[in-house]
Amino acid sequence: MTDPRFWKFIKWLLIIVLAVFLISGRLSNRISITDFSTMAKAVTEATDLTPMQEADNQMLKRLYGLDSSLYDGVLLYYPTTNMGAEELLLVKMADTSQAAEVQAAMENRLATQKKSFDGYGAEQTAMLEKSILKVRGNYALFISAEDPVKVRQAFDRNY
Amino acid sequence: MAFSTISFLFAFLPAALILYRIVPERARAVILILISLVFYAWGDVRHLPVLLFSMVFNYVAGLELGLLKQKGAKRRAKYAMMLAVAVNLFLLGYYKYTGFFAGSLARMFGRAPSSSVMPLPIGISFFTFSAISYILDIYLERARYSRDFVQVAAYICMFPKLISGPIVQYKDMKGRFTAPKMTMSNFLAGTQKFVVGLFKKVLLADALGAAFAGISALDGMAAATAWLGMIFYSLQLFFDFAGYSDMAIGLAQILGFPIDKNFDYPYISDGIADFWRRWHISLGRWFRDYVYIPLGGNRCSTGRQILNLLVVWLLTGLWHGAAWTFVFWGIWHGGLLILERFALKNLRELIPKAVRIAVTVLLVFIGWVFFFSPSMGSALLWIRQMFGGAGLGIWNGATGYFLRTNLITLIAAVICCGPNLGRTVTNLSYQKGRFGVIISVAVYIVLFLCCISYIVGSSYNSFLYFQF
Repeated sequence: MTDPRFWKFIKWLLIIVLAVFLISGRLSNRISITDFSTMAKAVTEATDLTPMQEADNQMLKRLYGLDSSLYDGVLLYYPTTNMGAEELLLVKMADTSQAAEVQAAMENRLATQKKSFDGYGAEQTAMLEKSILKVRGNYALFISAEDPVKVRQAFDRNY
Repeated sequence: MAFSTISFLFAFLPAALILYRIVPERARAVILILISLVFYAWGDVRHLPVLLFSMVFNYVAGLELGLLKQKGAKRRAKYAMMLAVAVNLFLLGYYKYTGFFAGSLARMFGRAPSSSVMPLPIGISFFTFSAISYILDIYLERARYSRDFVQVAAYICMFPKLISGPIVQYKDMKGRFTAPKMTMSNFLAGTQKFVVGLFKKVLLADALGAAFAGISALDGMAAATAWLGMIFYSLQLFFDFAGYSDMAIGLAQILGFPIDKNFDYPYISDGIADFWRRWHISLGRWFRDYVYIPLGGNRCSTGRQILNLLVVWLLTGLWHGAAWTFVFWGIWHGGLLILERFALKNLRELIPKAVRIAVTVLLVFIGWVFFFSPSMGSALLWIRQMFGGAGLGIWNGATGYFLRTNLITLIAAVICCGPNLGRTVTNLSYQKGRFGVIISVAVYIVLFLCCISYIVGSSYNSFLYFQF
């Protein structure tokens, strides 16, 4: 292949592939530059925190198996009593490669809670059923509350 | 993946070296590409296509350009070169600068900037500059184009320099990937450099970084605390980046690719020009060879030289980051260089060398305030606090606390900024015969073990230059 026109053709083909890759990536891969404190304020203001208490890193490890020092920001509110199912976890990841791990931790916690209330806690089970787990770019949200949609909306608005 | 992690040191590196060693020399470049791709994908596989594109596109663009040059089609070769460089710069700009320029435009028209941006592929600034070097070296006839994809791909993606440089130019690497040799002397010298780099990163930079983070978290600072914070960051940045460079150069040497040093004791420079001959040498050379000299360099009028310098330093600032603080930092260095070269040319020699070093270090350190600050406002606030602007006096309890708790690190860092310690170790190794060698090897082993115990006992600290 000593004809430069052949390589010019391949070059343009590659540029088209790049354009398609960038456009598709632009639609799905964006990360948020919103401060963790701003996001945390927005989501906590969108729900009633009375039945919950703020957790420390030890509790985060116990309930989710996550280490807060590995993330840009973590906020966890968990039920004040064993009979509560209200919970809020917000994580800002240091990079998006942590998303799978955080999502798995949230799914495990949800499954554990559902199992705990299965058969006797109808209200709690209903609350957990409508809970929202959302991973978007570098943020992850898990909310189990009376009106989780409000929290998700606050999350999306500030993302 | 970072060099200073347990997974790299005890899993990836041994496996990569064994694999690289056991294959025939002619197949080593292919193995180097494969292990480099695994290294890159380890952190975040989603950006691997960007790197793969850079490798394939520049190979193809280089072939077209080289064939056009061979046929004597100068004008078409020029357009092919311009398009190839433009595509590389577009890719870099798309990920690195879209948010910055869109945000600046939005603010200019009174709109709120978007709160989401594209995540930056790690090392994009470094491998893009390597790729541009390949294209420009062919165009400027400093190197011949390669028909062998492996040669070009290995040059762009070889893992020691992939994420944070040094930005080795293609003309210095051409042909080296055909049958790279691993020798015992390269292995030992490379390992020595790697351990020194690990020491700089893990035992000095991370400790200085923790001290700087503590000071940054204060609501207000006494003047001396602000100065101390600036010194901690300046030393952290040097040991972090120089440490990474040493590790990268050491690894490359182990694999059979000797690379020039990237730092040469920059904090003993006696002028800004001297500083830039010693700090991030490969980047300085890149801008000199591909921007400054093509613009006319020194062989033009004084006015044009000043313009050339300003262009180079504006680009150097922007290369480091998409923020006005980096733009200012670039212009700060450019302005100081212009002043030094044209206005203070004769005055310089009248000033004692020790004073020249002190003034240079002071000016460079003040520049780093803009480098570490998230905005121009916070940089100016920090500088104001250095002169008592916080109203907390010159010295308070926090100053004493941060100085006391970091004094040993600070003294060690200052000593390591100069060449004396390194010279002593080298003299010990080479002048005291076999006994000296044994002592010297023991020192490096102890240093390595200290680094490992520190890594195991602390959480991971990324490299500062990864963000660029």
